[in-house]
Amino acid sequence: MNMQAQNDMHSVDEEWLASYAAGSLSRAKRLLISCQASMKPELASRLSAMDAVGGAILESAQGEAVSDGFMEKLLSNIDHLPTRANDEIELLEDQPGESETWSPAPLKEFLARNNIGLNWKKLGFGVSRATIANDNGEELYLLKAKPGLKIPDHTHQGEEWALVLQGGYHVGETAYGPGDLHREDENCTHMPVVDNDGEDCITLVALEGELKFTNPIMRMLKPVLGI
Amino acid sequence: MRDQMRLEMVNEGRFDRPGVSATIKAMPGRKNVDAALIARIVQSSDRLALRDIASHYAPRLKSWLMYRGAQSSTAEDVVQDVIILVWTKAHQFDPAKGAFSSWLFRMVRNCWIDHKRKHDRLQPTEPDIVATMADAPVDGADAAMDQSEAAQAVQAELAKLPLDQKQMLHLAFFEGLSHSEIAERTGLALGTVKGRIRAPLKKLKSRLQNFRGVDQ
Repeated sequence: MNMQAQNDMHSVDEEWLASYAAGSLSRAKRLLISCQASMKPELASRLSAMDAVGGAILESAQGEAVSDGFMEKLLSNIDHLPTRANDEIELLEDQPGESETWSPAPLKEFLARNNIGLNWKKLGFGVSRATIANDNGEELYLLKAKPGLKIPDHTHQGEEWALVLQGGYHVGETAYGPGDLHREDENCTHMPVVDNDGEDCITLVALEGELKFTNPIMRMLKPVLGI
Repeated sequence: MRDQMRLEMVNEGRFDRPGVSATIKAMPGRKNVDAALIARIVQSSDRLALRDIASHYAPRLKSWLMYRGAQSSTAEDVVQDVIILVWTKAHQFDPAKGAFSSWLFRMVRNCWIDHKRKHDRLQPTEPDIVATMADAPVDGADAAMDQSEAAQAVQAELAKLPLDQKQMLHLAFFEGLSHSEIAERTGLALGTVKGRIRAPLKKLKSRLQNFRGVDQ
């Protein structure tokens, strides 16, 4: 294993990256990987290597014959492209995003494209949440936590992916900082502690299933807090 | 044109039985052919060049899409979208940054995701061009890296791989199977599947890093 790279950057296993390259990841997980790649050149290069492999296989794989008339339709299509310049649409990508400097470009694009505004709701205990999407039970949201906060012990029904966009936190001895992607499954119980360095910790979270708190009081408060 | 291929994997059946597998021949790559065709499109809107690209790649793109569950006619519609993007975006392709096939692989992935999104009533529709471009991972900061050489290195490494590793990569990247599904299909242990996919990817990644001058 390339332990050096693993120490330098927390990410998901190669298997998940291969699923990203193959187009098999959910929308929420795909966004987290795109965001992390924009923050970590190391990950971008791993994904480029996968696209190179995918491309090389595409060059030589066995094809499925296209129907008669496919080529004529193609040439007719390119003769009748809309006059509107594609560049006009692309300008959207370059427009200055929200003032949030912590937001990576793929997230800004995602929000703009889907016309989603961030509506932060205070959950109490110094935690705020902005919901982004819910696709077939997989929630995508931003979580903002005050420095020094201890998130109560919890586990998950499904998987939780969290990408740190600003600030950082520790789980035991392990530190997660900007650009680190932290994956937990239902087998892990953890209690993240937000770094007390004066900066809010902002994470982009993709969560399947619900959080399950080990503390009975937190279990009671969960519906009230909306987490 | 077929003889321009570096590798040819002919699927002689499913990979679920020992001894029945893909045959792979080392052949010259298409990289330079594709780059020349794209240059003709950029310079003179050469329809014959687009036709050459489509005649090679359209069946392969269609196959990639059908592995993901698309019906034949839907797959062809998406392939049309992809090749039209090749036509309209040809000026954005930079052969110094990698092989045309890598660019095309990203495009078919994004067009397919876009297609699914538009046909999923639970999710908002989006301008496809923006979605197509937005999902592409950014390249590393070192723009000076000669990705063209790196792409050739990847091709060379791929050609050298043992058959079983090539099969695993084909199942993962072309057929879009998860590691667990590959284990199920091949009857191999999940750990073995992971190892056979991880090993070549690590090698390829390190070849790419060599071109970036990154210490291993």
